[in-house]
Amino acid sequence: MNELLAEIKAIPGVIGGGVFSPERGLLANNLPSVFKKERVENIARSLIKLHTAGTYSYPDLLDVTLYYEESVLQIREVGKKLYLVLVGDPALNTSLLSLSINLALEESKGLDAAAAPAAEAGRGRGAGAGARALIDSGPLAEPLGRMQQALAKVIGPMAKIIFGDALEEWGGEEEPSLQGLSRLLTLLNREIGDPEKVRDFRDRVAPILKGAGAIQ
Amino acid sequence: MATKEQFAEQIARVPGVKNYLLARGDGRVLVHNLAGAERLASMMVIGGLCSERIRALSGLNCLRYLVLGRTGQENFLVFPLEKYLLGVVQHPEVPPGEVAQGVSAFIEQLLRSRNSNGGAPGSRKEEGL
Repeated sequence: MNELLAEIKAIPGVIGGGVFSPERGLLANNLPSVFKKERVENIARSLIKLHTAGTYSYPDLLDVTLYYEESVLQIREVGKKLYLVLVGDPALNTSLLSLSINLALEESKGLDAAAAPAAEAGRGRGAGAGARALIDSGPLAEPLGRMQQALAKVIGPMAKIIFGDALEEWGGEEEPSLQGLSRLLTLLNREIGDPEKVRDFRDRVAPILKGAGAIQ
Repeated sequence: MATKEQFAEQIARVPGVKNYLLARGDGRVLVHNLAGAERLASMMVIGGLCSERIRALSGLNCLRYLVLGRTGQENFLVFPLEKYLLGVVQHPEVPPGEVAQGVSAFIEQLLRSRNSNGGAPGSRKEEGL
């Protein structure tokens, strides 16, 4: 997904873009930092609404492009309920952009596979999907619940979704256990991305992992 | 002051315009020469509202136009025109950029002519633009 965005960003006139899921929010983006995540998500939701309205009249709708005085915004459905949102300057060559996106999607065989959790490569999606329920009951429920709360303090409302995805990936890789919580921490750190937030999260969950015997 | 009929005659002559639809900001169709005008007009209104919300969220200036790109190449372009919305279907062989330029020039000319005549849009209710 990030490779696709990087490839598109290399097109002259493209400022950056993101991949957005109505259910999971912004999944990847390479827009400049002035584009705050929450704002990008709100803009993407409006664009999706417009795109959806367009498909009622035109089932063969490919993309919707908005030409403002200083910027061009484009939305395109690139997978099942996955949208590519791009921002460019007014001189953007949209024909070139369209062709480049088609080629990039052809190479990556669409984004559905890229968007699927990496857990599929391990013990299988079935095992991973079951791991989501570990937070509700059983010996892992208490430490997992506390870890999710800590994540929410660090990254906000997306925590529940990201934590569920990480649980699924963890469950796809190995049999979830108290001793294996440090692996879950690694997966969550990767999702958080920002080093400062990773440090904050590590500090918050260290006592939880210590209590569970996952670390010394 | 252009009437609906005059407006229709003029927009149809803009190079690259295959079909047109003029609607009020509330979605009421004024004049058109295409199928499914009511549904398209509703979509244009949603487009106008969404683009305005995006403008407010992003701090951008006004929307010049938007394009619904189709695999069949007959793209649909929407232009805000004060309290109206103008939609045009482009000829597939004409690049959308050229059609947009032609329609924008037409709109500018229309507004200039209206201003020089001292009229106001819609001053003759449904007849006037």
